[in-house]
Formats: sequence, C-alpha cells, structure tokens
Amino acid sequence: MNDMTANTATPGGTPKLSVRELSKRFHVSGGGLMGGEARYVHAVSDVNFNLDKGTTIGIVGESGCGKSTTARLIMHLINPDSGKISLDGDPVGADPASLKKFRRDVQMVFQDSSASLNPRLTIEQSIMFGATIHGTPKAEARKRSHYLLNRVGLDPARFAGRYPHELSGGQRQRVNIARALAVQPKVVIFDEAVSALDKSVEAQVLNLLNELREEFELSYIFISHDLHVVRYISDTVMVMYLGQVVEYGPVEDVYNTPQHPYTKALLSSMLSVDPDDRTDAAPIQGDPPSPLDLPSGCCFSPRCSHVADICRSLSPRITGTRTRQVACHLVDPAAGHPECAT
Amino acid sequence: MNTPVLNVRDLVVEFKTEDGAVTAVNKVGIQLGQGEVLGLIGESGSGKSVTLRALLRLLPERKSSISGIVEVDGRNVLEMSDKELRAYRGGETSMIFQEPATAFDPVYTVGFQISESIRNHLGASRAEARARALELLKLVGIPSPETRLDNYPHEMSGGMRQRAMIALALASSPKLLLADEPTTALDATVQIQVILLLRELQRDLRMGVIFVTHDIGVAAEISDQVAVMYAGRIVENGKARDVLKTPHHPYTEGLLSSTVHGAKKGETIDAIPGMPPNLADMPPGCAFAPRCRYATEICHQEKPELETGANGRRVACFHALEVA
Repeated sequence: MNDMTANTATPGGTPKLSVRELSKRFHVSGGGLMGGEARYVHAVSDVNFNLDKGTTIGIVGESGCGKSTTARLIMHLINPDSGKISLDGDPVGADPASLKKFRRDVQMVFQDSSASLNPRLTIEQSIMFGATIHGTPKAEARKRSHYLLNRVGLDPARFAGRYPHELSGGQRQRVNIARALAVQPKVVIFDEAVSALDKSVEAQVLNLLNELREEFELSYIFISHDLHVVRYISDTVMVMYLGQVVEYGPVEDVYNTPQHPYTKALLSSMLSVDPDDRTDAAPIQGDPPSPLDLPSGCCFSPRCSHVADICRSLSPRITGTRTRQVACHLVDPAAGHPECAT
Repeated sequence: MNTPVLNVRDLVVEFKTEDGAVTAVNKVGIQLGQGEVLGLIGESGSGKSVTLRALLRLLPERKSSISGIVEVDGRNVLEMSDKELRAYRGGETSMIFQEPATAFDPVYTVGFQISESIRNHLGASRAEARARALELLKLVGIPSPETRLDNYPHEMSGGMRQRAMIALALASSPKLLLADEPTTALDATVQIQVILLLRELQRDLRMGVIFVTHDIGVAAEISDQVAVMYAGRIVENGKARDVLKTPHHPYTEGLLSSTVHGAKKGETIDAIPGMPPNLADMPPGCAFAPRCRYATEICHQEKPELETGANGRRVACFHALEVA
C-alpha cells in the first residue's frame, strides 16, 4: 500500500482523483476541562483509492460505515484529520485557491432533492448560480443551463422558470444533476442520489447518468446501500464496514468472487425478484456494533462465522494487488489464521 | 382459499382538499385467507399506505371519507363504534411501520409499552403482562430480553427496535397484521433477518399479513399473492409466482423490467417513461395509458375493469393478453 503515491503511473495515465490514507475521527465526549477519557467515533480510517477518467467507483456498506463521511471528506465539507487528495496530480487543500478550483471540478448530488435546492430560486437560477460564481458570463450560463435542462429530460421552456416545490422528486433530482454539471466538473459524487426515487424513475435517472458520463467524460463516485444499483453503474467497488475498507476491486470480481466474509454476507442479503429463489437463512445475525465502541482486532469479528483468536486481537492488514484488495486474516497467509487456505 | 380473514370490496377513500375531492383509493378489493401474505406493491402515491390505514380507520375523519366493505374475521370495520374500534385496533388487527423510532413513545420503556397493550387487550395483570412481554421479546429474537425489557426505544439499534415493534404488534395475538414498508429503513443484512422473522411468525401464528413495499425483491421473499397498485387502483393481482414471473399488466411488466436486478453494466435499463399521474388531475381513460407502450385509442377514453381470469388472476387492462 505505501508504495502507492499519487504519481504512480497507471495504465490509463495519472488517475483523475487519488485519495490516500484518508482518516477522520469525531470527538464525542471527555478529554476536556471536565476530565474523563476522550471518546471518539472513528468515522473513516485509512481510505485509499484511485478514480480514473470516465470510470465509476461504487462505495457500499451499511449505515454508519463511513461512506457518506468519505464523500464529505473528499469534498472538504469536513476537514480530514489526515490524508492526501489530489486531482489530476495536483494536491488539494494546500491553499484556498486550489480548494476553490477543486470544488468546481468535483460536484456532489445528495439524496434529499429538495433540501439541496434553494426554494426561493427558480430552476434556471439554481443551475446558473455556481457557474456565475466561478466567473461564467450570465448569458452563457443561462444558455448552458437550458442545454443541460434539455439534456436531463426537462423542457427548458416549461421548467426553467419554475420553483423547486413545483417539481416531483424525480424532476428535482434531474435539476440537481444539471446543476452539478453546470460548472463543467470532472468528478461527480452521488451520495444515495437515487435512493429516494421510485423504482421506475430510478431506472430513468440511472440511464441518464450513464449517458452523461459518456458525453461529458465524467468520473463518478457512487455511494449507495443498494447493491444492485452499485453493480449496475460501477466499474470498481469499495466495501466499507465501520469506517474501514474491507474489500476493493473490479465490480464483477467482487460480486462474483467476494473474499471478505462481510462482503459475502452483504451480497447474499441481496434479494431476488424470483419467488422461487427465496432466502432460507440470514447470512449474518445482529446489527453492526456502535462505531463508538469498536471491537478490538478485526471490527467484523463479533459477527463473523470464521472468527479465530487472531481476529479478536489483531486488526487485519490490507493485502492483494493495486486493483484488488482485502482486509481479512483469512486471505493473509502471514496472519496464521487456522482456516487460511495457504 | 381457506376461511378469509380479510374481505375488502369496493374500498374507496377520498380526501377533501381545497381543490375538491381526490380519490386516493379507488374500488380496491382484497381477499386474504388465514396464514396468507399479500404483497402490496406500488410507487409512492399509488395508494398502498392509504389502503392499509383505511383498514384500521386511521385516516383523519373530517378530511377523508371511506366507503365500501371491510370485513375482518366477518365483522365490518367501517360500521364499528369508537369503543369497538379501540378493541379492534391493535387487537384483531395490528400494524407495523417503517420507522419504529416514531411508533414507540420515547418516554416509556419498551417493556412497559408492550405490557400496556397486553393489559388493555387481554385484561392481564401487570405481572402476567410483563411475563408475556418477555416471551414476545424472546419470540422475535432479541438478545438478552430480560434487560431489553427495561430499555427505552433510543437505547436499541434500528434492527432491534423493529423487532420490538413486531413484538408490540403481536401482543394481542392479532389475526391480521398490516406491515407498511417495515424493512425499508433497515440495512440489507438486517432487512433479510426481519423478513425471515416475519415469515416464520406469520406461518407459526397463522396470521393474515398485508405487506406494503415498493421493493419487488422484498415482495418476492414473503408474499403468497401479490397486488400491484397504480394511481389508487389495483391493476394486477394473483399468486406471487404468476404475477412476478409472467406479468399481464403493462405497468407490472414495466416495473419488473426497470429494476436493475440482473441488468448488465452499461446496458440501458428498460425504464417506464414519464411519471405517475396527479391524483387530482387524472387522465379520462386508463391511468397508465400516457406511459404505456401498448396504449391504443380505447385506453385513452375508457377505464379498464379489473377482470378475473384463470387461477384467480385479476388484471385491469385492455391489452392484458398482448403483454403475456
């Protein structure tokens, strides 16, 4: 892992977005004037990935696994404790100017389509807003907003002058997508962006995202709890559990031959639409533990059916190649797990 | 079918709004046998939650009107007095909701709330009710139930709260359980646990269950029969296997083909165009016609009736056979 720096040449050239050793913990209580032991939530620990031009990385995991925090850390909406982020080889966050440029190049679409639009701005004004802030002349920004509205399937003649509350959820999410694209970003982060939509509308929006990615040569970070959607849209997938990356790799590889017991459990929780193909037994029992009291050793060990002594005492290291990684003692011969194959 | 536990005919629910009456549920009919699970599928605004609430008469009386027949265990719910209703709600019929955090009162312990329901409905003493509440927590698979009985709702995780709410719903041994998206807010690994639990309890206790969901995968896991709602009407109903494997209504077909289940990467998903109609401004003919690829002249002019075919299959479409 440590031999990978942002400048490592990859077959496709410099990765568009590179994230290195990104970590964040939140202070909860104690440690101040009142004394007591300081308690922290380890929201994100040591996240690494590369995102190449025109590709999509999916981040999956259950609530509290740190997938949304990862997105907010990348956007610098929250300041990371440590970690390096670079875009096209340029480190981000060193000075305010680089951050401003970065926030133009990386856009985000959120789950709640109405909370992310200003209720007092018309659709057109909302879409133009970012572009004009970044110095685009108004006439040009308006022209582009109409082009984008058309592109996301909303007729500008009908929709440009409307307010967010006059639109349905699906239409508002299209507006949010158009707004994200208005500043000509390179990377778009979708944080559960289709989760609140009805299934028939979700399918329309997913089709749209695929088309837009091609047309504008975008890279996506796609965060979702829906494993079917992530499989459909991603090239690479990162599985997170309690703030840590447990498995990473090409999406079909991970879905077809998962290595980590948690990934296996998560994937076998996917429901089939075939009534003859019902689930007979739940792959794991119980809820994920609170991120406040992380178990010692591997954080998945209390729910894992392959747990051994080493899992309770030692946190597994990440093993594998640059493109395919797993954090589990089971696949690490050096760890000496009794069930380890080699 | 065995003895019907629920018989709904021509259920119509109207809401009074400033712009006149809006029909949220239109001539819905449901037949549910003992120990049978109906999966009620539809998008938001299709009337599935309103249907459930109408069965418990939970809708605001001044702003809504319910007509038709709702018989639970042979008694017409729409004619019950307030006193009868109090015994009926949470007695013969219980409901579980999507958000257990809002279904429990935050200032009482979970054990107190479950015992309260047992005392009200079964007339048990405090000690008996508490013992029964403990049994119920065990039944729904909550670890260390003795301590959990004295927990407040916020002290439980989401999955555990959902289990506790199921225990609360089972307190009076209901004949009919209404479940409104009870697994939607749960994580995948927890969702499957709760589905399996409900399937097991329903089978052991011989309850009739209506399970409202927008997720076809969830419906496939739990349902014996499936009803698909669109714009306030049931457009297709039949055995789960029949409806989900060979849909006859274009909307059901569209819903199934627009799920990303099994869709190949990069392939365009066969999505239904457009969006559901506004209930206050319904098209004159079939409500789905504006989005339907099979629609012809007649679809835009007349409303198709829900016709019963072979195997108890009901479809409301002029072109049902073309879809199959």
